[in-house]
Amino acid sequence: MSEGAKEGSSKAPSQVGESHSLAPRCVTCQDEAVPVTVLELHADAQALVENGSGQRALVAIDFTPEARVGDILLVHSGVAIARLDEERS
Amino acid sequence: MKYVDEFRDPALIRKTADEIARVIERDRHYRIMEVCGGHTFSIYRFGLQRLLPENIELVHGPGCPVCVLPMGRMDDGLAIAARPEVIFTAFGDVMRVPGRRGTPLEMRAKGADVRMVYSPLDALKLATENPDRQVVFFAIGFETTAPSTALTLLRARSLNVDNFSVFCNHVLILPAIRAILDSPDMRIDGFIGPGHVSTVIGARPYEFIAREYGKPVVISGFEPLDLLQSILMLIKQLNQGRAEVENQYARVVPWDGNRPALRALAEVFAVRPFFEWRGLGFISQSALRLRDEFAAWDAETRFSVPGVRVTDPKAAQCGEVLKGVLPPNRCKLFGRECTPEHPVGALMVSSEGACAAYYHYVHAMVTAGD
Repeated sequence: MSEGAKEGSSKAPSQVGESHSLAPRCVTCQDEAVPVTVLELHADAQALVENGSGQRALVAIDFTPEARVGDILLVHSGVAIARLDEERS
Repeated sequence: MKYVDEFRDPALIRKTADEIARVIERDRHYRIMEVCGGHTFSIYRFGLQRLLPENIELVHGPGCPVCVLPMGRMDDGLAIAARPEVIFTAFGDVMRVPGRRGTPLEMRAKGADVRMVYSPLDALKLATENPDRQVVFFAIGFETTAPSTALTLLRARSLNVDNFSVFCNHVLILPAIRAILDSPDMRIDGFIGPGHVSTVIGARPYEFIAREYGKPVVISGFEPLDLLQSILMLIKQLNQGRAEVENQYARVVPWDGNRPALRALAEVFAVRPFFEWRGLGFISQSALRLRDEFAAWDAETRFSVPGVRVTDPKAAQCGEVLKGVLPPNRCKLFGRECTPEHPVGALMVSSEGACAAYYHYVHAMVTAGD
């Protein structure tokens, strides 16, 4: 993990290991994904993100490599699976 | 939050509900299945059925992976959890799913090292922190979740973590929909397509439903306005005699899906020849296993699992509820022998299951009113 990632996670109230706080309810529905805003991009395909309640976590962005700071991502089980696209909405 | 608040706007919700009431044909009955457990949950949570005319019936589909998991797979997983060298990890709701000898939580109370994780990546991290233990992740879920398991396995391989393995129960949504469509007592007019599964697989794979079965599909978001808009789109298709795949959730769902995620799935997983679904029975090519290249991280290869088979209780009518033939409360066991505290049938197991959602939101309201 890069220095940046460490710094980011220390600011976050929940690190990746405890990122369940991002999920409002049952994660095993498996079709639940939480919208979050990207705050910082880190090394190793990770991003520090914040959900609507201000809770932060590090998530993997391997599947949304186009993610930039300010983007809204959908996160499912610690991995971003989609980026919200304003043009398509 | 942007993209959330506007989809809960009461004025827009009312306007859409009014438009649905205006366009429906009064003498027609519309039976619409929401495939996804997340949609079922939203429909009950926001009381959407009450905003709809009586001749629109919402049928709750098979989209809760916890509910459709056969008890035998749970028993196999728990046999691994009972081994002293194993740290058994799983998502939260799996913790309450009963095998024949109890749930993972009860196993933990008896001394097994069972831990809840939010992400399979957390389980991998646990493995690197505990090199003298075997960390097993009990993987479950549709195409929404399978990419995170795939990513974790790719990382396990590149980091050469040899004390980590996955007990794979990932299932595929399209064969389940086809099984419902092929059922002789099927009476569904159209489908609300899963939102987050579709962020991964896209909208295109649903085209067979429109083409081969003549049923419309609208991929939907999860907010109240999303669901009402999707229902309106379905009603319009049905009234006009159209059967197409439409994408209400285009702000998230690309027509062709998420290519990096699909690539990871293809690299890590192969399709099983068949897999058993609670309530639906064996469905061919409906689940994933690890490819042979990943056998070193496959818990089914690493540990000998008993391969338990448990028959669904005959009295429970989960199959009929899943196919939309029976509403949850018309099952003989509903609310009596079968409750969320003591689930007998598959659909009562998780909070996203059709029967559990019905029990929590509708049944509770009715009994409170008695």
